[in-house]
Amino acid sequence: MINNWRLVTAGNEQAFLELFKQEYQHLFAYGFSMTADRELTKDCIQELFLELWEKRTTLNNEVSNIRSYLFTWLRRKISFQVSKDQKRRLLAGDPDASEPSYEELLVAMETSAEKKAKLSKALTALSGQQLQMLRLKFFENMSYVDIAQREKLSQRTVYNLVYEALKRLRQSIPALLPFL
Amino acid sequence: MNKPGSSQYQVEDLVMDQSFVNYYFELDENDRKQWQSRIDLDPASAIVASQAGEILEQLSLRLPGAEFDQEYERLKHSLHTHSVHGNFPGLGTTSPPLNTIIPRRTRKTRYLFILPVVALLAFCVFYFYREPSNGANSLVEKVNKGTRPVILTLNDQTVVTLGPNSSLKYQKSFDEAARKVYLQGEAEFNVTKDAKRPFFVYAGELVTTVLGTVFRVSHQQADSLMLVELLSGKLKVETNGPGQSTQTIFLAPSERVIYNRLDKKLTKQSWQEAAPTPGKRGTLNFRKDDFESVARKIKDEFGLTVINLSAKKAWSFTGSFTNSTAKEIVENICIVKQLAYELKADTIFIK
Repeated sequence: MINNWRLVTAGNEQAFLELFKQEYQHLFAYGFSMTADRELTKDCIQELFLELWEKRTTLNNEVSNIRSYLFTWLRRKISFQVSKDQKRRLLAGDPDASEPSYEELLVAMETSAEKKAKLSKALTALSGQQLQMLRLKFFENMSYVDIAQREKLSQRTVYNLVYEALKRLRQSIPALLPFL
Repeated sequence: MNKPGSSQYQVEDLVMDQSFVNYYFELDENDRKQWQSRIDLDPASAIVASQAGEILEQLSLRLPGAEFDQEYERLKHSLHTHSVHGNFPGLGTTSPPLNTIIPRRTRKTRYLFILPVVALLAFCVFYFYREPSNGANSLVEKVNKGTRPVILTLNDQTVVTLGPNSSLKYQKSFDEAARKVYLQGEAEFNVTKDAKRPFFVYAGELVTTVLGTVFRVSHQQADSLMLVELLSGKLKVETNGPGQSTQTIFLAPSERVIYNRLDKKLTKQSWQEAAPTPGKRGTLNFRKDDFESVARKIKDEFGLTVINLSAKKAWSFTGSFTNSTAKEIVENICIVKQLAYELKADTIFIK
């Protein structure tokens, strides 16, 4: 990974494209969790990489943590894009202006108004704890062990909570799965 | 919902299983191999696995694979905007407004200044090719690099089945006057009827005009033949090459047009789903064709159905056969791919 970065700053296009492939989904998840806007996140990432390529020879070729370097870059870029309105609210300490919840993000990923409405309704069937479990397991990609530690629960309990959440979600919206 | 006789796995079990997650997102090579072979051995589990995969995609908030591919291509494209990439001749007569730039979204103008070099090059290339690129009418490209056909729906509800190694450029939302798409490779179109907006398929030197119809266009860059086959409806096919007089042909269902690029002639043929004739000899060419493509070509030429019962699904075959029977062709493919086949009535089973 570090070697790849050196190649990128040396102007190696192949290494640059590899970097894009490796980091993309992480960057997307990070960006999307801030914006809840698919297209905006995609555009910001495109811009980031184009800028990176343009400035490749001037960048520090000894970056110790490339992912967090890119995350910071993306965060700055996104906050630059965020509407003035939202900035004002953030500065005023408006609780509604905080980053979108997992629930909001799930709904925001859906592309049609109909699907958004269906999913939104289905998610109301889940408790806060169940949503939290789904988020930790599938979005943050944590293991059962880690979740158990963090939430101070037994692994068994965590496992059951996730299972219940999944079952509940599938029950409330068969439309989630086109085959059924 | 567990259907009788289905796989031993339930969707939730798979979603919950870390090794399955590792397989699906390719996070661990061992898990990936293990699950891949389990799924290969038990076809019913493939459906469950795919459902589980969809749930994982959704809950993880990842960008779906096809969209990621698009973003990757978009980046590569932006890097190379100074190089020639003219596969889409005969574009519309409108020239783009002066502030046409990649990225396509017209958001706050501030960040557009960050990329002056890229923007300038993009502008030059696009101006030369006269592609309309502003806001919702910008051209989107779908590239199918895989070996399986990809289905996409355009914003007028036209369904396009894009063949392997093919790409289609189209407007995210079509103009009021005309619907235009630019094809390279092969695709089948099921076009929504809209008498007010004719649908045009530009592929190499042919333009196909459609009102509402199902048809197939085949244009491989290196091939000397281009093919437009009509399944239902009505079509008009014209040549669109530089410096030639236009030839026009109208097609009725079960007719097809062949354009020979060597002598630049457009000819009509009647064409039907071939009746099964196992003894018939024909000529077929395959270039990295996947199974579905091979099966279709054999069906078109000889009328024989080929079914793949083997565990090997994801192969591709390249080869040419002149004056061969279907059996000879399948035999040859099986030898190369180390498969067996059985001929029963008018169906060939590959095992």
